[in-house]
Amino acid sequence: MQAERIQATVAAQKSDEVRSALEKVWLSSRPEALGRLVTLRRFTDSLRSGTPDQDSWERALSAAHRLSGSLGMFGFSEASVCAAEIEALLAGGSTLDVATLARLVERMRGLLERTQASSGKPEQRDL
Amino acid sequence: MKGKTVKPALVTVLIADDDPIVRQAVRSVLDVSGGFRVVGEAEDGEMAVELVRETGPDILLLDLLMPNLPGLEALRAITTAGSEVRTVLLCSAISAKQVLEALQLGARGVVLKKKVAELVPALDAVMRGQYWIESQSVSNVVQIVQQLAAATPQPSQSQNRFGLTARETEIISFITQGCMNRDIAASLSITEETVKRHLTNIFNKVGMSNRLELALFAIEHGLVRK
Repeated sequence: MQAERIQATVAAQKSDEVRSALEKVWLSSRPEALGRLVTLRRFTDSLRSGTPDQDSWERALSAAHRLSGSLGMFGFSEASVCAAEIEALLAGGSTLDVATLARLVERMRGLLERTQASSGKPEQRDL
Repeated sequence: MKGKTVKPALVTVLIADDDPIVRQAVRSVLDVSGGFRVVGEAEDGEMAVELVRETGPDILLLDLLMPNLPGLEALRAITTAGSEVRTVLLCSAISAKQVLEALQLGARGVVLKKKVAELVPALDAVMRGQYWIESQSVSNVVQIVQQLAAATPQPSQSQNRFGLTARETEIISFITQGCMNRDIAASLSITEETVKRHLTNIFNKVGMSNRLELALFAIEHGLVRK
């Protein structure tokens, strides 16, 4: 009984340590995440003004993919899902709807802003 | 005289993910959890294959979507090379079909990035010889395969029966359900020895060498009804 209590306490401490470690990584990684958002916004602008080259397309796809994976790790579920939607849209190729993409990128901007407003605290934790 | 304290050996881990943020986050989680030592980081599939060969880690954490060589192709190359590394997929999303394929290629677990807090329990389970699928430790992977197969679109019933007899097909059905030889024997009112003999014949006919491979093969080729 006592051993189980100790085990549970240790597990809770470990969980707090993991949470704290991830928060630190998020704070140091946030500029890079914002850079990915910039990539997506630039790509959306280039779509409005013409046909972007394949490299820009692939950079945007990579940015969306990375945002989806990393934001999920830090507990930003909503932003991660939004990035996954952007990724799916970009992966669709020539059928891409620019208005939908612009709306999703703008939504992503808002969600990332919220992470700043709460001092790097995720809006929802899955941990 | 005081006895020397023997520290348990650290589990060595190679992280393969194209995103440096993900690699840093995983490294941090493993560092604070203790018991693990990150021996390398790979930013694409080819580098993962190379570093597995060079560093011989206990665990490979492998992303699915990576440049140069996708995760499952990297896993195929690692398995083909005969590496003993235990591979755990760490991905944003994965379909039941991809989980099945990964298991067939020798993966020992799947952890979603949004559930990174499960990483340490998952690696502990895998190091104990178990599998980690859908947020839980699994001993009988064949049962999990059966559940996953139920969620995967199946090809139509195969016309090619691989020369299997009705009894052998029946036994394959039990295998995909995760049944042990004694259960099969009891259900069919035959001896365990007979079950073993049937299994040997089945393995020879379909070219598989263990029950998991057989279950995956049967599901893939529509040899059993769901």
